[in-house]
Amino acid sequence: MEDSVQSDDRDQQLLRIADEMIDQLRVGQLVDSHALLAAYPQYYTQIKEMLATIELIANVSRSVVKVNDSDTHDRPCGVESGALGELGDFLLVREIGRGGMGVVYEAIQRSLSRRVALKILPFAAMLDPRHLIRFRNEAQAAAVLEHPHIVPVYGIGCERGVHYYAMRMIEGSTLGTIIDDLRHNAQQPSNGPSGRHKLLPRNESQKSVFADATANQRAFAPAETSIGAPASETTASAVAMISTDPSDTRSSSFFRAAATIGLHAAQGLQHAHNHGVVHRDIKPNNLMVDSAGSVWIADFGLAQLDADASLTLTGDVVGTIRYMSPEQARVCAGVVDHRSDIYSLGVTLYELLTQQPALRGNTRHELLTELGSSELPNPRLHNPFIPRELATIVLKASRREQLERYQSAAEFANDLQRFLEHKPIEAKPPTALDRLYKWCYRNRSLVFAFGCGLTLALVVLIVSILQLVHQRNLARSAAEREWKQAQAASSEERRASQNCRLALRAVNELLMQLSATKLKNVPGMEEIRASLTNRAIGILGQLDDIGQNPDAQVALELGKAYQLMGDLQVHGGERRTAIGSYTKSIDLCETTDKNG
Amino acid sequence: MSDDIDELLRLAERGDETAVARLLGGQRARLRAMVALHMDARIRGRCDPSDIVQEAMLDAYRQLPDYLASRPLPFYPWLRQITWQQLVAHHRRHLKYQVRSVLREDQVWSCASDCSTSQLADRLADSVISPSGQVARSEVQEKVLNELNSLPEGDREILVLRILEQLSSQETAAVLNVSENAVRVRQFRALKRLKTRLDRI
Repeated sequence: MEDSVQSDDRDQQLLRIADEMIDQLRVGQLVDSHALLAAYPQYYTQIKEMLATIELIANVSRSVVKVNDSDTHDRPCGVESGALGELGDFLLVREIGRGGMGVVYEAIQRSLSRRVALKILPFAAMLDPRHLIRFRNEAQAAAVLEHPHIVPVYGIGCERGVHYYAMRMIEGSTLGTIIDDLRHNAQQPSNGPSGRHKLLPRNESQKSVFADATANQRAFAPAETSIGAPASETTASAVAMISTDPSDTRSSSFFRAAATIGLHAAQGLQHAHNHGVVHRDIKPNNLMVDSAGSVWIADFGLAQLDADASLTLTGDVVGTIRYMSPEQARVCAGVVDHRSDIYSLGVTLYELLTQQPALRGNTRHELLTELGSSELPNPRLHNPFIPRELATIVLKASRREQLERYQSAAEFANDLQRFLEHKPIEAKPPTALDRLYKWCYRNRSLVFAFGCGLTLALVVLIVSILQLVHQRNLARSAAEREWKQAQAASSEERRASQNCRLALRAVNELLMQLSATKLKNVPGMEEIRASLTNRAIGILGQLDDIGQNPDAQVALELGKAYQLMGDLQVHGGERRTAIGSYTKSIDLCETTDKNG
Repeated sequence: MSDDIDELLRLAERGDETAVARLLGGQRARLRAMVALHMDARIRGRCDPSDIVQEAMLDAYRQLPDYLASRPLPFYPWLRQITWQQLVAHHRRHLKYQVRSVLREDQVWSCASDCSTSQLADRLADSVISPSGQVARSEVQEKVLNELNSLPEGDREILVLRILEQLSSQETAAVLNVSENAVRVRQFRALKRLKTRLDRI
């Protein structure tokens, strides 16, 4: 379809005319219809119609927005000097640092001939008047703050379209650089100081980044490591001695210096909070440590006036996400207030103690996930030399939950002070029960599933145990019955053999009587004796039959009976039968021998 | 103007912070107009177009080194894209949590209960010009706006970019990822179609 239009020369011209009209309108002119109509008289109606339509549409836009409102107002008037030689009253000396919000220069303020740190804020030029008011308010709020641990703001202004923020020049370096050095030296222990502290006045040893420069201070804090440090006054002005020698990150002086840095910063924050100013962007790079070891909070430029809520309708999230409190990063519900600063200082100290960022993630997404997941691991896992109290303080300050943190910077400072004075601290480490409860709360679904599984397993276990018990009872009763039967059977057997023995004895007694000599010689008794003996043998034989296996006793008695029989037969002259009787007797006796 | 931007881009590339400031600051009004054009009336009470532009500016400031390194598209279309993302994000944020109260205020979107909130947000930030209740508008303007919104999407898009957002043909081509000639053809056709519709009323 486009081809067919393009092929048409007439339409091609109309295309160009329409384009030109739109462009004229675009750059803010009135469409010069006379010129167009004069140039293309043949398209008179088309031009008129198109123009009408275009103007109708453009009219809609004028009602929706006034395109050019306040456009010229804050348009940067431009710095003609490409190089950064000077800016109004300021002579730029060199670039000191570069951050997300601008570049910092060392500068000379010519009218007062003093050195200042000048922060150029490119983004301020993009602000519209409403935001500019907010920015100025923030600077004003910061300018009110006067505290030994807050970098004083000298002024704020706009020079040839470039907005700047002048503050006192602090000789020293940022905590961020110090942490970098600690980390760097830990990785390459043999290298010693890396020499990255260009701005740093080094002391003779070239090892300590910060030394207690004045003898006065040395007198007040005689020994960093001494137990029972002097009163609070002294500790407050104590010197933060940080050595970048990695082996020193285990010494108690390192931890006392770290605690002192935290103490200074917390005191500065408390002062700002008292004036209703929340920093909102506390991070290692915003904490300066000067050559005397004192800490300065810089960049209150991004601070927001608490009271002036109307200027922060949208609550723009500024600041570095790594040090942002969960409520600031909108991970958790909650108003961003002074406790957000406490959190940020907490994770900053965490990083100083462990030389590892509290949140490890590299992308915004990773950081936010990490922030929403769990509490920070104990810093002692990274460095077991960290004193338990200090770890507890840092963890308490950097709790995810606002209510679990220190509720004011003063409380935070007090605990650090107590730590430095070797007094018991207020913060308590969470008990195992607390941790368990929180873990369960965070992993509710997992715990629920686990609980269900456990219950199920328990039920199955109980049922199978009951089954087992039942079967065992059955088996036991069966065994008992069998045992009883066996008992009964054996007693029967015993009685039977006893009876048998009694019978045998009776028969034998009879035989003994028969063989007694009194009857032997009584004539005519032979026959009676023989028949009696035969009867006895018959009974014995029966007994023998009853006891299937020829009982030894039965056999013996039977043997005796046959022998008696033989005697009688000899007496009666029946020698032949007597031999048979004797043979039987002998056989029986032999089997008795074999069995017995 | 484009020479000016090219010159500033060159300076910015060399690390001139003031050039960066002028580069971004110079586009602020235009971006604000763009945001105001597309922003839904219901979130207008909750945030100002300037806020959205402000956040977009900070984004742009952070992303500028990447942009300067590759320059995938002309400067203004690039800025507009970042601002657009902020605009969509704001619609999402405000409508996600407040869809109920918002619906009570404005019955126009009563069908919204059928849509997921994110769909709703996407649709609102689509190139439909918002039926703003806050701006006084004449009857004729109202009619033109209605007709414009009822045009096929491609037609509406090009007229919005060229006439309402005042992008140049070149910038429009970059935003839509078509040739400049295609832009000319499309805008001409769209104008013709809109005219026929307007003639009917």
